[in-house]
Amino acid sequence: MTEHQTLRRRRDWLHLAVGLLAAAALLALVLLAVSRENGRLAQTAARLQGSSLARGALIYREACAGCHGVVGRGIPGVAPALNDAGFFANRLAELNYPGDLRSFVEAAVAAGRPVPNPAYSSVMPAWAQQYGGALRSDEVAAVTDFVLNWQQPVQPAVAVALPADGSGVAAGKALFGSLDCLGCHGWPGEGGITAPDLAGIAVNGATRMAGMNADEYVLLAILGPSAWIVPDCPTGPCPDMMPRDYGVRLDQRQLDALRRYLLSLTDTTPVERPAGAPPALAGGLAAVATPTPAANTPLARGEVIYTEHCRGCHGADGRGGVGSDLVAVRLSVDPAAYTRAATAQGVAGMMPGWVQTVGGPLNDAQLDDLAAYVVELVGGAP
Amino acid sequence: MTSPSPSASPPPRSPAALLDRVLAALLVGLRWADLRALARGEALPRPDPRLVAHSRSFWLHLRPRYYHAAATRFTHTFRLGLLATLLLVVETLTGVLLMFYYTPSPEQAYSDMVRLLSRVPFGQIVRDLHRLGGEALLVVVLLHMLRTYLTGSYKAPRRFTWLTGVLLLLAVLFLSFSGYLLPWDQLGYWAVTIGVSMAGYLPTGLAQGVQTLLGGGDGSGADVLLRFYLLHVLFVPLLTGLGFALHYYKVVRVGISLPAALEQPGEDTARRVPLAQRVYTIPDVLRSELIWAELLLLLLLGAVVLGVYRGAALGNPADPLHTPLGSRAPWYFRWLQGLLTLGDPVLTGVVPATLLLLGLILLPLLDRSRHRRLRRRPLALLLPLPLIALLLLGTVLESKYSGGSLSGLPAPKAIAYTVLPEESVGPLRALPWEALPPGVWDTRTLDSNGAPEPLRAVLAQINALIEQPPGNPSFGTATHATLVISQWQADLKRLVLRVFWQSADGQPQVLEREVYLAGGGRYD
Ligand code: HEM
Ligand code: HEM
Repeated sequence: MTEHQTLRRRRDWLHLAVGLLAAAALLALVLLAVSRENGRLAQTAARLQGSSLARGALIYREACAGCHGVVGRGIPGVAPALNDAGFFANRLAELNYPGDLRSFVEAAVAAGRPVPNPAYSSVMPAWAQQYGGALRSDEVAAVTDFVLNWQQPVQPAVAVALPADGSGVAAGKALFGSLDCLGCHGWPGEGGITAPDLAGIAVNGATRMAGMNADEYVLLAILGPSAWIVPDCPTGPCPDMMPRDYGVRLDQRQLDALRRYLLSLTDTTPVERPAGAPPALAGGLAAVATPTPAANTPLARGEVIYTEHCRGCHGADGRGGVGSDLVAVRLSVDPAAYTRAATAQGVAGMMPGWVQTVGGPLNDAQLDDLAAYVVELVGGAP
Repeated sequence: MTSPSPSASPPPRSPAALLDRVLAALLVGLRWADLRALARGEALPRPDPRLVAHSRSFWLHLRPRYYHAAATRFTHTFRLGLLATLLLVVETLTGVLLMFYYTPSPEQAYSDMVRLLSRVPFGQIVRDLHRLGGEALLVVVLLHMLRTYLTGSYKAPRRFTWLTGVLLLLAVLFLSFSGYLLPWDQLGYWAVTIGVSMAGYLPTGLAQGVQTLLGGGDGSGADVLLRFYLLHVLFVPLLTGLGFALHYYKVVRVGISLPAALEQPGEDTARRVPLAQRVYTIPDVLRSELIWAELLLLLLLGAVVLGVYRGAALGNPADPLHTPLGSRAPWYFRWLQGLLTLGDPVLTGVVPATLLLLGLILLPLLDRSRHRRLRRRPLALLLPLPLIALLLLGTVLESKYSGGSLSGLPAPKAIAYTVLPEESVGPLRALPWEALPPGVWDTRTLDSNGAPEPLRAVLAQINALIEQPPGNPSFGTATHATLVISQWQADLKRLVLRVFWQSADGQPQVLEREVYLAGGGRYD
């Protein structure tokens, strides 16, 4: 063999080896891709559905929340609740609708509900572009996804471990009094008002939902209250009425403090009311809790108070929700005075008094600010 | 044709003879004995059966019978023309597969992409291959152009080859550009819109022509999408095929240029290959091409399957009424977009782009020197440097002052959109689901508010952004921010980021950005 031939031979073997190796590697890659494909499809489907759901939430917020309420609880006189067990269970049968819930919601969004209903002030317009609305078909589908997702029970939030030092019970108690918990649950041991008495929740909380201890249940009940509806309330079967936006309004330390407090309620003896004294927010909680006013004007200060104490029941727009529609303010002779009186003293059996002299958290100046804001909100002054 | 060597020719009716004839039919007359001789490097019978095959077979007649050994050196061509050809094949095959699942209408296109990715087996792999292959093709073609420029292969007799090359470059650019639009998502839609809008700076008549052709219609985008689609899958591929035929015909006719050092200036000996220098297409060149094809596929598929390539993104559905902040032109147009920030669009945009294109087309006529060796063409070596500098400058300008940056926005807004961008993930959405517990998280108390570590890190990052705002601070300065996380629905969280700031006249202000995040919708 010549030297040339030897070199050539060597190069041939090299090429053969590279070629075979590459072919084997290609085959391995293909097999790997095949073996992973089902998992990948499922993962991509979940991801894309998730982003559609998130888009749907924004569309709902912009297009629907004004009438159906921010969390879909409906607004009396304006539009019905969508986030409601009755809606999911009975609506199709009520209407004799032949299709499934998805096609019903999708059609209602796309084409509107043009037939007037005496219970509501206006009819729902068509939203799909093909019917003259603003939404593309993928947007109609996304907002339908969002509405239907209210059927799913809210997963318990993953609990952040409570601070080990056991502190926070007192702060939690103060918070319980200063938030609108009191308005519905009353002081533990006193029987509840429109919502269940929470005395003993540290023990019976563990019995509510399978596989959940009392702490997890308490957290779930605050952040996603519809997951479990307590069967009996002072006024009969409990309504599914608790506001769902505490996740928005509480920060982590407040949440921890509330949990700590509720977990201290091991028996049903009435708790000692914080007599007279305003429930100060201990431990610097107030500083974290209160959203900073956008500007130091009465309206801005009032907005902060409203957001913190009133919005949960009366809605971000004052059109009501769990609490009544504040339109009454507009109808009164002197809207500001009316608001001030109602907020200071409360309404028997429905809303607690908020002024410090009856155990509430607000002083006179704050009540003025609040009244100014509420009047502005519902358009009171002629 | 009979083989002259009796030992290699089995008795006429045996199974071996049958096999031999089947082989010969498949391999255009090559027989077993010939293959063996080829593999062993032994002498072949005469006439050379390979040369016979070249004149008989359609595919082989497109190829030269042999190459000059010097032209097959890797460091001479870097196999860039081959790679570009292979990538064109990859694009066509994956492109046809994509067409099976794609409808070019604004109502359908996006949901077709969703279906392709989430329900069609291997749909995402095909899409990623098409996308990655398209980007790679552009890079390879540019490098190929650079190589033919440096080896002086654009000079006579290869001037026409260069010209057809420029045509191919434009075709590939337009294929890539028009492809971006097809998924009909915000990313592609606005990249293409920004690209097309640059045509607006052309002289009025031309600008109108381009914009009517590409952007006409009723504004819903239906016409634009259909036009881009047909150009992308039909017209420009046909044009590319034609361009490639011309290009390659010339390459074969004239022969690949030899390394300049081997020739006298002005001489072209590419087609006169001494016997000892011949590298035959069968088997050497074909074998090496096969291996390159394997390696290319391995690289593409490996990058896609092993996740080295992060996958072609699919943004939110296209919305012609809403330009997402941070929209930018495709990377190969960013230099132009950047130059446009410098001032008069005709001087900074139209003129350089036209000069560049004219320069490319006319290069073989402008360069009159007969020399191909680089050391005899110092000007040719220096000329591209200012050009490359200009391209880099434009690209940098783009990322600093144009689509790539939020620097023109008021500082608080730039902060909010850095943390929660519109069409990309951003630091906050990248956090694991558990690291976003419901609550109000204040950047002023990040060390004491009990935020989980990953969230704390993002809060700290927001503080850093407040210190050194990415946007224009002249509107006012941010003081702090709060992030409100709530469990909004099953598997859905609401994030509200509020940036608190003071306007220049001391008024406290809040900027709010609200987004929703689904557990299954994590960008990963
Ligand atoms: C899709 C795009 C293209 C394909 C598929 C392609 C393919 C090829 C192939 C296979 C060759 C043989 C030699 C080699 O591999 O280098 C070649 C040579 C050549 N190409 Fe291209 N090419 C493309 C784009 C371009 C562009 C953009 C230019 C320049 C503007 C260009 C200019 C040339 C020249 C001048 C030669 C001759 C090189 C020589 O003889 O040494 N090509 N091309
Ligand atoms: C040089 C050749 C080509 C280049 C550079 C190219 C580039 C692109 C790019 C960048 C996209 C967007 C991909 C994405 O967002 O995932 C795309 C999409 C597409 N291309 Fe091509 N393409 C080429 C050839 C072809 C050919 C020949 C066909 C059909 C025969 C084709 C069919 C498609 C289709 C149907 C889509 C839409 C689906 C999608 O976006 O993934 N392409 N192309």
